[in-house]
Amino acid sequence: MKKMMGILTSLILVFTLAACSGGNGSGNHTEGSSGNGNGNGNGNGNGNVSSGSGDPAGKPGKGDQEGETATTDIGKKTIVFSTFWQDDKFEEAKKKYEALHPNIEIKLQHIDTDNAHVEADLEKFATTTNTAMLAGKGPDLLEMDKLPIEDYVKRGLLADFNTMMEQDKSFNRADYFTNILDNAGVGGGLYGMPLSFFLMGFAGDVDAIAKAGVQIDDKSWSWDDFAQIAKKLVKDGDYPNVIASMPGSILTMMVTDNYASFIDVKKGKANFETAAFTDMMKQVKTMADDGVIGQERPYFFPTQINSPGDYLTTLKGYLAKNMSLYAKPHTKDTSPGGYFRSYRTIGLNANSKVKQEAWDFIKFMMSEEIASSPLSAGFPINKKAYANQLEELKKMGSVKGHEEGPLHGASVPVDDAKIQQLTGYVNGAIHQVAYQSSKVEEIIYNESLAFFSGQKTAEAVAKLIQNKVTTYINE
Amino acid sequence: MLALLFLAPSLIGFAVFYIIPFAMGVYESFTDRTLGGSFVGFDNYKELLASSSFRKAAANTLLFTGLSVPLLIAASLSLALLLNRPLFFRNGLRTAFILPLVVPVASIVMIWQIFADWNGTLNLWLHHWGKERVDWLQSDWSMGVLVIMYLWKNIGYNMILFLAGLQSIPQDYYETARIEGAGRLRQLVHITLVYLTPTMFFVILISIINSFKVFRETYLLAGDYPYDRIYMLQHYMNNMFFSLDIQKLTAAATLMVGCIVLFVTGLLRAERRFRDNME
Repeated sequence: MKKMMGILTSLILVFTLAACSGGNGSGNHTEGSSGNGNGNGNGNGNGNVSSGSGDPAGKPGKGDQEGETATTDIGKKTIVFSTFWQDDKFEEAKKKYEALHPNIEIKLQHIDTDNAHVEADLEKFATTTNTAMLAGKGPDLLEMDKLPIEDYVKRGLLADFNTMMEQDKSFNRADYFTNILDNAGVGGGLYGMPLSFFLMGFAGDVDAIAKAGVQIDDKSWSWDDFAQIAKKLVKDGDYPNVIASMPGSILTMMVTDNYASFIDVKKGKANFETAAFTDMMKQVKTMADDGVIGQERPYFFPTQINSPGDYLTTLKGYLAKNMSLYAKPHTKDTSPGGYFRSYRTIGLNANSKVKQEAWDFIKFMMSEEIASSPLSAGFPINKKAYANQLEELKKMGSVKGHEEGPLHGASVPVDDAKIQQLTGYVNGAIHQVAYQSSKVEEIIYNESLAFFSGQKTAEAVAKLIQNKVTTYINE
Repeated sequence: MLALLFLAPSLIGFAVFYIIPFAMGVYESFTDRTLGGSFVGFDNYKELLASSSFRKAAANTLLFTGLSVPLLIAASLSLALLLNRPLFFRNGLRTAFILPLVVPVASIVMIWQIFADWNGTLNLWLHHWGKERVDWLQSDWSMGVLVIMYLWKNIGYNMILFLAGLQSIPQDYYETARIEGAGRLRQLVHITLVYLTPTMFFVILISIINSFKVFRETYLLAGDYPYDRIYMLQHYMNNMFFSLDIQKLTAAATLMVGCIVLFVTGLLRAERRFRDNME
């Protein structure tokens, strides 16, 4: 008997110690960031979010927000909306919507953070939201920009907006930029509603390119075309470089464009230890050595256009007089078109008890009721709201550049032809660029650094990338 | 009964923080989604075992434990034997071996990073001697780096345990043996090792458990996707947690604990048999 007890206690001891070690591992992510970030003074709103991390397997039931999602006794319904940053736009939408719908209360939650703690707070925000969502609780609406949307979709945590849009007779798809709605999907459905979006592309110096005698069809150019054109530009043109970038970024872009040929997710196979990949690396290195990629004056700047106003100032900000937006090169298989990045992407909790109400609020945020200035970040998803922005922009007549920016606060006149061009880009953007870089991109970028600095051979780096990506896709 | 009363506080704490969550975890590992999922039998386990990364992680963890624990036992036992006899500066040396225990992990990892990095100190020396440099953390050497780090960190603790064990062996045994003409080696094998066996079991157990904890250092040293030679079970679980795959996570944890329990039961049974023999 005594011996049995002895064995039992030892087993318990082992349990504890083993469990301890597990706890330490996941604890690393959250340590040191507790005690700040949450108490933003709106009563019970945020305090809850701070609990419930560090014990992955243990208790998904933490981070409780019961009572918040439930209806209160006077029949007033509450929609909890969680974002990472505080956002005036959402505050405004909340006020307007509550005024129109007195029986609905919208609770905005966000994390108070500062520059020194952003990274820790971000990780904590993701962990606590993940745990709460997995526990079937969590907020009704979430801003997905900083959250792993694909994982949420895989676990069935988000509602598909495509079905909601279909069922809703009052929703008219044609009022919105359908090129964005059709292409902002993840995993076969629209699980995040982009309230706005950015345009991604290259800002190119039209005059200098014309002077070098080069024709560019950016609607359909491939990376090979780009390499050809770049060679000619370096040889015949005035500027030392073609694109202001890092070889690692270019390589990562080229790989993501050819994702399927390098990674077969179904079979769990990566193909990086191939001549195709090492040749690609060598090609990028040659481009860097030849001056195609570099930090001196280039023909193209990779750029992100945030708003109609930003379009005007950004293109003027690059020294040259006549800059224009070009789509970045495609692969041969991708259909011609520009690139966009969703912004203020809203997810709807599949377990929410107030789904219809939440959807109605999303529709409200998508509508033109929420007027936004042509200078605020993000092109609105609503066509009318976009048209209103352009009207306002024309009324303004000119846009003032940033004081600290290259324009030093100088004004840029609003030019109808440029605006027309912009509308073309906005309607033609059909390729989504993910808000966050994926793990594979990170691995490729980090490992390729040693190759581009000449410390390792292409083959050695390819082997490492192959090694890590294989681990990643087979988990 | 009274004993139970005194045990209650710690028992409750232990139940709330370990047993109950773990039992919930085991339950989760048999369902298809977090909370309120339906029972799917061993599907999660099948999926888990089909994952080549999980198998790799399990193999690495086993390899690490199998490699580092015997090395650690051998090294710390020799040190204990050495420091058990009169030696110049003995106390200072003993303290020196304990020191790694009290240094915070983060700073240790920092030193190791600087030391073993591709552009680190070790490679600088190699370069100085005109040798090809090695990417210590991104090749099969990475396991070696971990083993050395583990040895360095745990050798002092084990040494203390062995020293305590050594000092509890009565000196008379050695005297008798010496009178009867036993040599050094014979004394070591037939007296020291035999009477050290209970301590040995304990040290092996603790060392194995500590070898699982090396994940913390590995994670800080090489991140969430290290070179696949040092991709440990806890890496797998950690990554599963971040991709919200609680099912695979709990299945992996259950399997791991199951294996540990099996192993420890075996070890304890062996110890009991040994004790019975001694009596």
